[in-house]
Amino acid sequence: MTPSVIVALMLLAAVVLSTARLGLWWRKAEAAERSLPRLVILLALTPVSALLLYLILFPPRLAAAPGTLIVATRGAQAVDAQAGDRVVALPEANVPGAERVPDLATALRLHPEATRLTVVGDGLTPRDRAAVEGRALRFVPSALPRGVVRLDTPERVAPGGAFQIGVTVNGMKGGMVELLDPAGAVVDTQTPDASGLAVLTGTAKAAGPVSFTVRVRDFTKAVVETAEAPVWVDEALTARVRVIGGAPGPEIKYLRRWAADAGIDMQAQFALGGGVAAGDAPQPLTAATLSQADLLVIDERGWEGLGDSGRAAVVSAVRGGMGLLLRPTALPSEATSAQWAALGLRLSGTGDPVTVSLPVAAGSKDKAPTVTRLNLRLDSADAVPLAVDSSGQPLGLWRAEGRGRVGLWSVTDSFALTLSGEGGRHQALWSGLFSTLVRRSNAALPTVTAGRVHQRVSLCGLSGAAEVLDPQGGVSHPVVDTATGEARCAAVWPAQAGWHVLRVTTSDTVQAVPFYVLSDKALPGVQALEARESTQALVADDARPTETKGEGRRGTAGPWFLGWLLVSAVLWWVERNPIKGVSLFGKKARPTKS
Amino acid sequence: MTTQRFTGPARLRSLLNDGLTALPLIVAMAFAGWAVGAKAGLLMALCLGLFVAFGLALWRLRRFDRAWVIAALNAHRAEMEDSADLLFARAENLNPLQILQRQRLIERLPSPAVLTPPWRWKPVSFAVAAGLGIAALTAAFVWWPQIRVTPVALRRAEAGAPKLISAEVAVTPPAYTRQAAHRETTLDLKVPQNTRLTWRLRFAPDAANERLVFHDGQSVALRRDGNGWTATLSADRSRLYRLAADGLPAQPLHRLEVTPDAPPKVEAVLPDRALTLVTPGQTQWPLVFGASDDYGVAPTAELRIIQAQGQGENITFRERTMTLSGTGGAADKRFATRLDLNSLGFAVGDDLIVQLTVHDNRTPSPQEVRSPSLILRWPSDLGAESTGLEALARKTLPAYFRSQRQIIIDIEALLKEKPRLKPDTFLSRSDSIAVDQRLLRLRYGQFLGEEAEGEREAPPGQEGTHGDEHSAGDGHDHGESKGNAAPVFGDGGNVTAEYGHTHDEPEAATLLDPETRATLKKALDEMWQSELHLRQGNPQTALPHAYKALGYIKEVQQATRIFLSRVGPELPPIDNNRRMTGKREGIAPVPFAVTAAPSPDAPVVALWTALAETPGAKRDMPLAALDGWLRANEGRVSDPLSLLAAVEAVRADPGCTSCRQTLRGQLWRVLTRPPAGVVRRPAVTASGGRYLDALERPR
Repeated sequence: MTPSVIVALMLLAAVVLSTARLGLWWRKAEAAERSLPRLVILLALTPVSALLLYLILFPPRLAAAPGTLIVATRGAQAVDAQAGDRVVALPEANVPGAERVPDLATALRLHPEATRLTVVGDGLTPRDRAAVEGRALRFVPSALPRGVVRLDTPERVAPGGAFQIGVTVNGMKGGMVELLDPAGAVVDTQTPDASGLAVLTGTAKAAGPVSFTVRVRDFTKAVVETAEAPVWVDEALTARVRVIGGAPGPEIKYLRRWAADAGIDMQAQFALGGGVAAGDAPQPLTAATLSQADLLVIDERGWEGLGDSGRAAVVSAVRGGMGLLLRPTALPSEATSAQWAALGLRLSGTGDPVTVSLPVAAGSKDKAPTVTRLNLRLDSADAVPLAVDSSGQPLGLWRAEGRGRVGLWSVTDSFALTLSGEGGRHQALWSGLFSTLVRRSNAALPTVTAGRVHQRVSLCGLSGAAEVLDPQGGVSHPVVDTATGEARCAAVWPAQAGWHVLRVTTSDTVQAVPFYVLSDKALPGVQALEARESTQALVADDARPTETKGEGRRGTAGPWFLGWLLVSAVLWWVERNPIKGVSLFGKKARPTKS
Repeated sequence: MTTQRFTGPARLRSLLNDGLTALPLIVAMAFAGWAVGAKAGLLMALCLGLFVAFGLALWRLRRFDRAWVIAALNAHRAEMEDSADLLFARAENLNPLQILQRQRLIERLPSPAVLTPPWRWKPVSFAVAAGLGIAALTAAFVWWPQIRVTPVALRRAEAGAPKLISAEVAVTPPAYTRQAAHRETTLDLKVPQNTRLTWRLRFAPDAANERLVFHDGQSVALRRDGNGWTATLSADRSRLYRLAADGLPAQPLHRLEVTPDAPPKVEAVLPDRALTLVTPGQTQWPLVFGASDDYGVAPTAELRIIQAQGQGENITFRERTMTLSGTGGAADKRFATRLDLNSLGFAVGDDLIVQLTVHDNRTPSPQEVRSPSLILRWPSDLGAESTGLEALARKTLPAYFRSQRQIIIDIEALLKEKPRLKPDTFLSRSDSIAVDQRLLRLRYGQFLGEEAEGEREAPPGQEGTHGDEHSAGDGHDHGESKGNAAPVFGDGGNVTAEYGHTHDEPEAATLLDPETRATLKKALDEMWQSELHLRQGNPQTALPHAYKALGYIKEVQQATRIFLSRVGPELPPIDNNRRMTGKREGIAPVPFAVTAAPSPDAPVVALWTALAETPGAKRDMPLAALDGWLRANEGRVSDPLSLLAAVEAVRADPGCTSCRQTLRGQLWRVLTRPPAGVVRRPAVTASGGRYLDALERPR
């Protein structure tokens, strides 16, 4: 017994009752009162009225045509709908005449017959992506806006370190991209390449959040877009580095100077032969002491002086995670070369000193600084350059060995950079070398996805009690979803833009991971590209058959109501004017008084 | 019959009536508009008045229509017999009776003037009165405060706190800047250094203890001067200041920016390079210098001329000074002269170095700037220019022969030991000293071009590799090797080289001047004698000769010029037998601890960190530490006033986010870049670790 059946029965009963009442009245009424047309009208219109009332309450279902549902998203311009297509507009879209829906899931519930979707505009927001779920989807993207469509800020920056910001701009032929420091001074200018990509380089000074600005100018030098590029500079980390050499020299001297200033704990020792040593207090070279070191820098004479057991300890320490930098100062002996080749780094050549120039920024008028390297051919099956010279030849190589990394560095007088006024370059060079090779940190930090205001930010790897501090000083406590298992993920929906800090407290450590939340208006081009790429990933030609075979949607009740009102009015008129009701029809025929 | 005939004059009269009425009102409104808003107000009021008056007049004209004419004719003229409407009806609509009546009416038709309304003077006089009233009211409202002066206004103002009502700064730049003294009405000033500033301030109500407080704590009290306050100060450096007085609310900071007098700039216009070589036949050297300054260049400048004469180490310098007078404007002058090379005695091998010293007109102490040195060189024929540093880096071979002084010491030691020695031991030791003496004599003999006698002792490690025998092709063979070259007529200069045998080292022989050569010759002779007696076992007699030789050698060393031929750069090979055979006791490693250089701007870093919008961080700002730092490092900051202003803004309102951002931006300029440290890679993930381990497995 559905409501519609109950109502239908009630209405039927009412019609029967009223017909019966009419019949009784006809029989009782005097002949003069009887009016056949009136009776006929009443008898005919009563069921009609009841039927219309039913249709008001339960309008007939719409024809379920298997058309395409056209979903207009942000930036949708014209929608060309074919016959049978339905157009819905999501809240971000501004398409006149389309049916407005709060989200895609609602639209799909309203139109369950739609198994084919056509998305027009920028693309689906994260809110709507899950709703697509197996439906055939076609995507007609609108043009990307002019300006920044991708902005990659560095994840980890050390104080004093250089960092790169990748900017992809759209529709900016002949334009340029500038990086402005917090004081508003332009620190780097790049011309985007054919694909629109430009890499800007800045330097961090002190720890903490710092806001750089990326400014895009078109070919007339007019500013097209100004975007904030937030960077978080981490506190300087210390690393324990051991240096073993055959002789002290300026290279090690300037390396120690940099290490001391940069907060690196460096222990250097030189066995001069004959039992004479120089440098810091010598430490034994055992597996235990090497497990305390993050990086070992050793030259070929130091390597030869290690002995077989020492070399075995070093290799096993590297496999356990330590970094190893081999720094030949001359052509190593056959035996040493063979041992290094066993670590995957083969070298051949004369070992004569060769002067090479370091790369300089394009367009820079400065003379390229030069260093001396050994004329060695570095060769490895699976190594990556540590640094390259101005002609793109590697100055050193590194490769992964077990859990650690081993590098080979052929430059012998990088200290000359300091002497020629390029101290920053010397520091940057060694900072890059050390950062590449140094032992990984022990504690795994939680990972945070990039986010926007009111969008889901997922936090994973929460090993302890987690709290998220927002810029206004508020604290929220995300709850770990047990369904994520080992990954231990939670999510927050930040309400404010700006730097947030995820703080994870375990019994012995407190980890703080800063993450930046963009405002929903920031970087519209980035948002558009992200929506476009995510929607593109959902594009599918064939729909998975959906089991939703639900009832069709009912039409609107408006026309039925009007009809019912009309019929009821006639009924009322005829009912209220028993005699005039007859004359109602004759009234027009009566001649008017002139 | 048209109504126009009657309505025309009536309309004109009505228009004139209305115009006369409106005119005084419009004038009064225009006056009021001018009083309130000057020209713009006048125009606006005039336009508005004319528009309204014209609109009203037109609207009033609408009543003079046909009905009005008929009614007026009927009302004013009894002879119209209430039939005036017939006059304006169409003739074809009329019946004969009506036409007849119409004819009668036309005959009686009065002149149109009867319907003209009379002049209406009453509204006009009302309007004039109203206009005068408006004008008087306007004048009263607008000019009242000016007319009714001080007492009431002052009394009203005195009720509140003191307020700065007028400020004026008399700026008198130093006379030498040739800038006019002027008056500024703003308190933010940018003036040349040592400008005399006189503030004239008026407060209402008058405040007490008025002073200028500078950011560095100095304060200057203002004196009462009439009904204002005044203070005078000489601007010597850039500062921030604010006004302060008892009861005066906190005033904003003002900038007093002082631009120091820049030293003049001098550049050499001609010649355009530092080093010029003499062209053949050159007798004059034209010199043109350009000098510019921000305020003025002194009219004269000194040209310093240094003439370097001589070669090698024997160079004499002569210095003289010329005064040049400049041409051109006060701030941009040219100094030109032509040096006469003959009168200066400029000769081959000489250098002429000139430098112009320019002063500006700063008083009391003019600033002095020197131009870059310009060199005119007459290259000598004596070989190429020395490149200078080449020999310094050479690894030189140590001399393996004993000095003359050592030989004397040896002889004296031998003589002392003589009583204890056996005769043949004595003789052999004397002979060994003679060998040393000989080696030394041969060494010095090289400088005189003497041919070495016997076999020269090679340095240890190179025995047998070097003989000094004459051989074909070693540079001084006799002429027969050139036999096939045809003799050329006139080529007689080289007769010695062809037929003789100079036995000179070509380089060494020409290097010594005759006196030195003679002295050296004497030294060699004495060495000969010394060696002779030593060989004969008579060190006693050899000793005086040795002393004489030493004396001559000292003389030679003190001679003005001596050139030694270059010594070969080859190091002897390492003798592996001797290596690491020395004593190593007492060699201890010297600890060379390196301590981190302290950061030069720790207070800046601290404030930078404190200002960051870091969630969950404490918010106390070490502004006082920055003040101290800034006082000590003011020279390092390019724009200290902006930094100070930003600091003051944050101090005044610590919660102001934009002020904090501004201060952070200013601090960023000041921060030095610390040495780049190490960035740790993130910890290995479980899957990453498994991957790295799997890579190692096949090995």
